[in-house]
Amino acid sequence: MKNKLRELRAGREWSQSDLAEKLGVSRQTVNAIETEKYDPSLPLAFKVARVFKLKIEDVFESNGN
Amino acid sequence: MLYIACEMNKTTIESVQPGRNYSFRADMKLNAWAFAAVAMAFASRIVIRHHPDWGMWLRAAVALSPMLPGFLYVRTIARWIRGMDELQQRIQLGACLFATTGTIFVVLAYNLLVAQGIYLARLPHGLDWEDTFASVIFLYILGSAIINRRYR
Repeated sequence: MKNKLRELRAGREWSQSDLAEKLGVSRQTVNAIETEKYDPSLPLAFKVARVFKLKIEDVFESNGN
Repeated sequence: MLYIACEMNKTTIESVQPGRNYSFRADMKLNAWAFAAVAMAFASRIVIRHHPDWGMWLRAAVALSPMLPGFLYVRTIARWIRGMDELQQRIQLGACLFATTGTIFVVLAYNLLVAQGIYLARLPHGLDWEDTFASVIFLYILGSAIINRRYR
């Protein structure tokens, strides 16, 4: 699954630790999602979208599309 | 073995909660039942050795007494893992699976050798619980390192 997490985070000048704190996860998890080594669960994906005040499809995109 | 258990916790705390410093007290709280199980295992062995006249049921109860703190330790670990974030849960569960299946293979391999009359010089009486536990701990650390590397 592709995502725009790094661009969105950089746009808000947040560090990975800042985002991790907002999401209630570890920095390693944020890094793994950004580098697309790990696909978050649906609840976490919704939480990410909520933090950025976007729709989930604006943050995540299926590889098949 | 106790040192390894503490190191396991230290590494995980630092990766799960980067801002949080390692706490010996938290470590002791997490691993307290493991320490109790080890202490009870040694104590029960000594007690049984000094009371061969005791009945079968009493000796069985004393011999199995370390199982209770062992079970409570497993419960503590399960709660600890449930408190982690989803990636850490995946890493920990992967490491646990690696450790348990790896240990099954180690025990199986050893028993296959014994069945063929090949005895390892260091373990003439077979694998006892200390060897099995050491295998689980070693393979857990190895599994954690391998799976953690995948997500770095």
